[in-house]
Parts: sequence; C-alpha cells; structure tokens
Amino acid sequence: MASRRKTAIRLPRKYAKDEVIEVKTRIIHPNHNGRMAYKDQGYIAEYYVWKIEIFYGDESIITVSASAALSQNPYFTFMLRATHSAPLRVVWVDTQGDQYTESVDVVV
Amino acid sequence: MAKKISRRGFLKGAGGTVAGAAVAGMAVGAGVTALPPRAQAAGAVMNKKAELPKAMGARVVVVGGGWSGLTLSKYLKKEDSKLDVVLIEPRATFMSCPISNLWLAGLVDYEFITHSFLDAARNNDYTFFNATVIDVDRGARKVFTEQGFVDYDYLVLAPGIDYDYGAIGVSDPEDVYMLSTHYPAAFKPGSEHLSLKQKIHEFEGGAFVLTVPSGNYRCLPAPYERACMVAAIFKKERIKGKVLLLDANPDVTIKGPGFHAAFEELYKDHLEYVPSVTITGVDVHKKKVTSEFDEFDFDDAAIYPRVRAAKLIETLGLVDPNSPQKEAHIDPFKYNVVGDERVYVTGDSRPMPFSKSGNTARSEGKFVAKLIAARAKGHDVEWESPRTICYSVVNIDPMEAIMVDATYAYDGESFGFTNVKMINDRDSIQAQSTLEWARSHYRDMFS
Repeated sequence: MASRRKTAIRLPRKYAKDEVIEVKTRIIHPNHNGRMAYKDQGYIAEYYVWKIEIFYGDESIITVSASAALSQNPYFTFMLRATHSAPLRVVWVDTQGDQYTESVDVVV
Repeated sequence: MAKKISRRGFLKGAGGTVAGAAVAGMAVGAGVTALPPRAQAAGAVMNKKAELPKAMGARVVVVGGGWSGLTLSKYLKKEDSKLDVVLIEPRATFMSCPISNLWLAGLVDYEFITHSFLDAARNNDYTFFNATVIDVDRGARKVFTEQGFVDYDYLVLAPGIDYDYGAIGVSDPEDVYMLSTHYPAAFKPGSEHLSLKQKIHEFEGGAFVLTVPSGNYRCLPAPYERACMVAAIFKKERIKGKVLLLDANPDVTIKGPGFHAAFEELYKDHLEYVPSVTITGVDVHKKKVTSEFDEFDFDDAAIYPRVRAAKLIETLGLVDPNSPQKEAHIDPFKYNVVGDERVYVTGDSRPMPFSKSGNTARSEGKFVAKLIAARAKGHDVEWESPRTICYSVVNIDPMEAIMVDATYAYDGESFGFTNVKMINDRDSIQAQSTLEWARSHYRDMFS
C-alpha cells in the first residue's frame, strides 16, 4: 500500500557541498479562520498552523509567523546553501498548541 | 531539443544547389513524407461540397454534439425556425458524461445515458452530419470535413475537452499512450467509461487510485462522486479494496462538507482521501504514482489528468495565449471569436471559469442560440449568466445525493459564483431529483 505522511520534506536527489538547493516542505493541516459558521453548528473554532520553524543542525534558520491567511495544507519552499552535513528539521505549530516535526539529513 | 533549421540552413545542408521543385518535395521533411495518391485525392473530396440537404435559410453550423452543441442546435431552431442548422459530430452515438458515475455503480442502465443523434436531429428539425471537422476557412466561411465542406453563415464550435498529460509529468507519446489506454480518465464518454466499468467490476482487491486534477477540470464534483460510487461497490461486494483518491487541490473543491461526511460515515474502510498531491509522474509498468513528496502504489487506477480545450481549438488557431488550459480567445459575454462575429465557441472550450458541466453548457447554449438568432436579424441581446446545477450521488443503498445550484456574476474583473444554494446533507429526495434532472435534460435534447 501507499506510504502517506502528514508532514514531508523534500531535498533534491543530488547536490554538492555549498550548492544552493531548493527545499520543499508540506504539512496536511486544516485551516479554519474562526469566522466560518455552518448551519446548526455555530462558528468553527480557529484552527491553523501559525508558526513554521526550520533548524539546520542546531541553528534556527527560518521562523515563519503565519496567520489565518496561510493556506490549508501549507506548502513552503526555500533555498538553502548546503554548507555542512546536519539534520534539517521543520517544526510546525498550530493554534491548538500541537507541534509536528519532520527531519531529513543534509549530507555533503 | 531539436535545433531550429532556417530555410537557408536547410538549403545548405541539402547540398545548396538543388532545384526549387525538388526542395518543395523534400521540405515536408522530418518525419513527414509526401502523401500517397489516394490520400492526396482525399484533399479533393474535402474540397467539394458535402452531400447535405440544401440550406433553406441562413445556415448555422454547430461543431460538437455534446450538451452544448445539442442544446444550441435545438434552440437555434426554436428561436428562429427559418435558420438552417447543421450539427457536425464525429461520434455515431451519444453517451452522457453526467450520470455516467451512476451507471458505473449500476444505478441506471446503459440505455439511460446513451441516446441517438438521429432522434435529436429528426425531432428538432435540424441536420445531423456524422463527420469530423478538419479545418475552417473563416474568410470563405467554410467548414471542411473528411466528407467535404459545409458553407456557414454562423459557426459555433463546441468541441469539448482533451487531456493534458504533460501537466502530470507524462509527456513522452509512448507513455501517454500507455497511461491513457491502461488507466483511462473516463471523462470523455465512450470507450474510456466502458473500460473503467470493467475495471471496477473485475477488481480483486488492493488500492484503486482515482485522481482529481488542478485547474478548471470537467465537472468539479464528479471525481468525488465517482470515488463514492467505486467505494460503495467495494463495500457492497465485500471486496478487500480501497479507493485512494489523490487530490491535487488542498481540499474537496465543491460540496466539501457533503463529500467529507460521506467519506467518513459511509466509506471509512473503502476510501482514503489524500489532499494536496501534486502528481509528477505515473509509472504504468510498476503501477506507481509519484508526487512531489510521496509515492503511491496501485493495483488498478483511472488517472484523470489536467484538462485543456479540445485540440481543434488549437488547430484552428483560436487559443487565447493567456489561457493555461489552451481555451479559446472569445468575448466572454458574447462568445464570438475576438474580431469575428460569425464564429462562436461554447461549452468546455470556453475560457470563462464556469463549471465545465452539463447544466452550465445547456443554459449557456440556450443563451448563445438566442444571441445568434438575434444577430442574424441585426439585433443584439444582453448577457445572461449560465446556471450550474449539479447533483452528486454519494450513497447507493439507499440512493442519496447532495447538490449545488448557482449562477455567475461579473465584478468588473472576473467571474464568480453568486446565488449559491448548496445542500450538503445527503438524502433520497436529492437522489430522486438527480434522476428527474437527467431525464428532463435528455428529453429536451433528444425528443
């Protein structure tokens, strides 16, 4: 059967030391902005990813402060200079305080 | 990539001093050979008048016998019985894409969705011409088919959609052929649907992959309805199989609460919904779909790639250069090709973001018929919005459906839904309405 993950990080297949590479990340997560009401159910509570933090080794390299304007299942990509071998870790935090972590190893 | 060869460079390469006539013969060049004599003669056939009844009034030629073309042909005659209407369609039999998911699930029989173009033409007093359009000469107002040309006063092109496999990373012609033959999308009715029904009923277990493309694809709710129908069959037949619905969009694109409720309440064991899957390739031999982040193995599948306007629109040089789905360059309110009030494009080849679905095509067809009939008399009419009514059956036992009904408004920049009525709580009344809706449309088009 298929492999399915809520969180994912993708690095290019091949890259050299010091090369600038594109990193793609994604989490499957709802986005409710708190202002939508469904019939008989009242307002749907605010629920979305409000922070994405990226660590290269122990260093925090990017912090995204998101709002309800971030999409559902946010897909976030950035460029990284692969200077050394270290884990690349992405932490997503949602409005209910839940944390989701995914990590891949950058090997140069 | 093939290097572009200039005429001068070609001449040099060919030896430099070849005579002009010989060059003309050779210039057909790479991969194209001169036509054999009988094929050349086919050009002569095309260049004579097609054998049709003589036009009794201004002639409107409608190309494409889908929901749009059939409606236009009928309503042009209703608007003005003096108009002479010819419907050109390459298929000999009509098979409906709307309701075909119900047929896949055995809720209606084949006769319910299959109809005769002859009935449609005879009962509505227009001419059916079973032929394939090859070209159009807009200057001379002629449509060329393999059986000769037809003169027109007005021309309506409603050729529907084609698939864009390149958008899911499958572009080699051999791979496209393999994928479209082994795992057809089944959104162009005919053999694709017959293959899919066979697949579903012969399925022995495992993962059955269905996909939802990005962009404005044919019938927004249909892939979700189909997923429900296939899962319902697996559930009913106790097949240890699961529908894996891979959606390029972040969530169900329409009637979300209704479909999610069905997925969770009815098909928990037989359907898995995976959003935000951007497909980057399909390996037919290994039975594997690859996406940006994941790989999905399947035992059988129906891969619905991105759609584009029918290739005929491109062949005729009518594509809007800004349209990512190669749709026609027309006036969005009057439907005529920009700069040519004799030629119109309707149905799923239109560039407006209307739902590519049956009810939309029919309400639009009625408006365009009224517009052309008025213009033939030197008048004009105000734009009317098409109306999208769409039922989706989500349960087969008992039969239950959800629905949406909406029109469109223009805000000065773009079109958006307005007057939206949505029923997301599935019930059997909506299911009965689904069948009534279909019956009334078939009746109107064919009798």
